[in-house]
Amino acid sequence: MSDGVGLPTLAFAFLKVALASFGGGLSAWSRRVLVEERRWMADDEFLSALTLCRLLPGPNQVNMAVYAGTRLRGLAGALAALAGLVLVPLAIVVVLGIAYFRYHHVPALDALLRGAVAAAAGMTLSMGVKVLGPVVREPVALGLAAAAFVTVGLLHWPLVAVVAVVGAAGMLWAWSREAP
Amino acid sequence: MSAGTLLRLTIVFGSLSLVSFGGGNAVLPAMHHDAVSVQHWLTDREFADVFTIAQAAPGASSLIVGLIGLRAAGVAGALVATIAMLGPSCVLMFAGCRAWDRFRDTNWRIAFERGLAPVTVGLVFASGLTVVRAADHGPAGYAVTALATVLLTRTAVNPLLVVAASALLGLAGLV
Repeated sequence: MSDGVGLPTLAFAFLKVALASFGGGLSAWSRRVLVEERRWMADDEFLSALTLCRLLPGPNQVNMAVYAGTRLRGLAGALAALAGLVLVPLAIVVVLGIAYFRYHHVPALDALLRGAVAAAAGMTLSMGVKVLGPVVREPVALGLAAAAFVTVGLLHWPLVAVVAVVGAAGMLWAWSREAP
Repeated sequence: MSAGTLLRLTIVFGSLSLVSFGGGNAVLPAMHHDAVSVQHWLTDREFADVFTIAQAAPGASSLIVGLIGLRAAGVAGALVATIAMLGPSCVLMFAGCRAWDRFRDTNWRIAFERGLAPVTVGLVFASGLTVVRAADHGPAGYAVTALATVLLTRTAVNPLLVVAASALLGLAGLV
């Protein structure tokens, strides 16, 4: 489908996601880059892929890099996306680590981080608001979203169980709407 | 640095990789136990500090394994630990994508995508809530989060500017 996507383009897209997500908000950044900027996938595909990435073991955004890379360019794409996401941040972390293990204190990182996290939380919430549009128009979809939010966010039920139950209900609903 | 240490890094993180459901933070307690109490690669205090560094640095916070590897066996240790932690789960994800791709354009995959999307929207808000809570900040922090949410939703402002400005507020001790 998107045969034209070059491997360096893929790697740079995920490098951008990684570098931009200072303080967190990685999934909001990957939605911004993959859906809004590059238009490599639509919101529906991105959102269901995100849940797939959360259900399988491994860091969500590392899984998302594998998903997008594989989807666009197969194995080579997955490796390019991974390299983009991981290599430069790893180098940065190692340099910070070398400095830390030599001098044994975390300079102002803690204070910087506290500020960045407050904005990164806003980034995640604003992504939620942006993808809320199609959901609000459908009472059933809104109910499904609310059920997932309450059970996972407020009641701390296990993710796998919630997706198994609420996700299955969502599939049945989507299936019944598509059926002629 | 010894080959033995590299081997132990591979075993410790390689075995955590496939059980790290819900991202790297889920296995943080197990990681702490192995790295601090069993292998003595770093102290309690160092573990807490490298956690902060990994959180603050750009990229996935699971890169904390690189810092543990660095302490245990230098730069080679950082590479080995990162590959051991990310490799197995990536291979599984890749296999999953390949299998998943075979169902492209089938009715039930379309139903899966449309049906799961609203569930994910709910989960995104749940994640936002978790981040807000974990940040454990005062009224100023909540105000920044609220302002950032509105700015990022309503305007085309570059999110990096918002995050950077907020980080500076943190540095100034205002958040």
